[in-house]
Amino acid sequence: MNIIEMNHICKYFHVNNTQALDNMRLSVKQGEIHAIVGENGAGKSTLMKILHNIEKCDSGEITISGNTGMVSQHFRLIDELSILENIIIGVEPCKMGFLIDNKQSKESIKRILDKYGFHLDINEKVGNLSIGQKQLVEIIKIIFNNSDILIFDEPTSALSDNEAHKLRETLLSLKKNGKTIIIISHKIKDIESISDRFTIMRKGQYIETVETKNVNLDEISRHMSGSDIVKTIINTTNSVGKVLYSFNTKQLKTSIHENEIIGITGYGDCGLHTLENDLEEISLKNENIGYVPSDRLGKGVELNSLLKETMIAKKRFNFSKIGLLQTKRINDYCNGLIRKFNIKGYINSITGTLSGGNLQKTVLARVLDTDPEILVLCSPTWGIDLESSNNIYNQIKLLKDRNRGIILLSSDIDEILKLSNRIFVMYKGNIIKELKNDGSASQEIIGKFSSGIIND
Amino acid sequence: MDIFQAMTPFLLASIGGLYTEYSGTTNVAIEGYMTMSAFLFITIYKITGSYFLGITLALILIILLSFIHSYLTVKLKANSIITGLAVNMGFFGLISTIEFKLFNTKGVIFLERTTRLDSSWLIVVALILPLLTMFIINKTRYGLRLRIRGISKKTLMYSNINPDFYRISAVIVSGILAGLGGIFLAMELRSFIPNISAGRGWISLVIIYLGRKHPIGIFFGCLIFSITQIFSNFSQKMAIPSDIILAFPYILTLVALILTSRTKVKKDSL
Repeated sequence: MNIIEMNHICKYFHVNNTQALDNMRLSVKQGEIHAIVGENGAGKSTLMKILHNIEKCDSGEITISGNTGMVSQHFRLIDELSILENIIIGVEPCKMGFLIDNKQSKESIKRILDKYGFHLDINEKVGNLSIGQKQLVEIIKIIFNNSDILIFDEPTSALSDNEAHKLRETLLSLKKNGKTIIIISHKIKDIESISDRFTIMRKGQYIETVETKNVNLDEISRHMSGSDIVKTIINTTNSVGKVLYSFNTKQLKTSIHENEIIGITGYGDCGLHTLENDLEEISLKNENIGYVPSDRLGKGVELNSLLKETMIAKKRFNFSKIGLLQTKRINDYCNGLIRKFNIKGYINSITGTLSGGNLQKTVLARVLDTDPEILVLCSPTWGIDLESSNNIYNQIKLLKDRNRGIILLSSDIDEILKLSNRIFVMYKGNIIKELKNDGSASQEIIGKFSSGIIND
Repeated sequence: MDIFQAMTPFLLASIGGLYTEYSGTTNVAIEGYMTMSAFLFITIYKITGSYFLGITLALILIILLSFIHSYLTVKLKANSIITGLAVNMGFFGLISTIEFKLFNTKGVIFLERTTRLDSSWLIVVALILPLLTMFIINKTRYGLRLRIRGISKKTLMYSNINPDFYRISAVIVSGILAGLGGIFLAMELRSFIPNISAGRGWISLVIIYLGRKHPIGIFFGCLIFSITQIFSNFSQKMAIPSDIILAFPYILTLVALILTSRTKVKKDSL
């Protein structure tokens, strides 16, 4: 039986002149895990927002037999409130219709925690939680809401491998308890390991719905982009050139060479974040060091300004004459960047309307255009589809081949293995191991070091 | 009793303003609402002769006006400071126009000398308001959602709750409470004079910040402003210029704000 039927869904966005959804359809069976895949900007999130009734579609029919609950990519939890308060928002159990009944809420949440085997102190403030725990709170929240259909928008993109694995298990146990789950994800691993079926979208259109067990991995990625992806392969065992810069921060004491990529990784709160802050400070003081932040929405771009303004943010003085900006030169320059880096957007569109992948390309384009000697690159591909990721890897490769040095901070071990010459593993705030990436390093070995196991 | 009398309009207006602060915006039209409701109350009372009708009709009109004000602000996504200022100016224009039409004057509207208006219940209302507000904000569903509206609109949207309701209702609550403050002033004077609130609406905005947006803090803020107001009345007999006494709470607010912002910076840098 189909629990969701969506037909002929159309949605047009006036702000950036795009047809986000074009005659889209979707049917989801009761009790299945249904993945939605497609490139950045294919309209997946928009479709889910329409399903969850946050946005209205221009035309189309929707039949849903059940309540929906949605965990969005950027969490909607409130740091100042306790876990308990965050969970009950929207369906507060009340005495006399207006007095919040804390006792009843606690009991209901306890029941959910016991049923699924979660461990959380519900009186704790949400601000103190890790990303994985926050996500758990979001999940409990939608279960508490009595939702039958749970929608997840890229749930694993912000998680470490360990946490993502835990989440996938949680989703399976939700399915066992009769929930229907819709998941948007770029990670092939999510799709192949838990989904029953998946629907492919491209440019707002329905392509097809497939049984997961009938297809293989490469086919999925081909289906997603509509073409075979030429994988960028980076040589990680090349000989490096002369020393470019010697870092001497609290955590990182090493030198970066020409034609070298240093990858730094670790699980959860292992100190990558503090290291990023230190490197950011160094890059601000040194003109030859470019910096691409992991928090691209907060630090990388200003969501409400125009794309061209975002692009020239760092070098606006080059485009001004007697204190006035020269529009024509700016437009030419930005159009050039858009073409060169294949960014899907217009110079006059609002930055915030671009999809995550295109935002990241914009940030990268801006930094690469200054041609820095050293590039500090933090989680460059989280939340970004395969084709865009490859595109970004290709840019990294080109930069490296021009005898530049790159420092890559990422909790995605695959990415680290693919790009780095040397790998540093962090654990509890310190770098505990340095490895050469000459084939001896593997997922398992790095995973072990990341958990603090050195002598084995 | 004097001190409570002086505190009542401040308490009503600033606690009302606190609701809009919780909803994430500032109602800068408190001054206008106070003056408007004082005018409406005196006018309706003068025409109908009914104390009860005066209060109810005045409040109903205030609810209507504040609804229009907030609805338009929310729906047209206008800047709330600008619309608030527009409401203030519009109200003053409206008052003098209606006043001239009805009473052929742009000045004071007197009630009969013999009129006695009982305003003591408003003092009681004002004094229990801080505690009542704390209860509403912390213990009720409305309070929880109102606070969330002020922090994150999207959180409410994702729970399929209409976030606009909470902001609009907050402006209406602040309109009603500021209106009661204005009615209280009119009752005390047994007349309407232009500029009857004499900046009390603006002071209430200052009090909200002095009280660090907390009902109990606001209570003490009102106390400080009322004491200085009473002192300045006596000060004519003393050597200190009354201006300095009146300026004291503002200086205190400034210091309080600077101190608050400094502690905030410290918290962030950790």
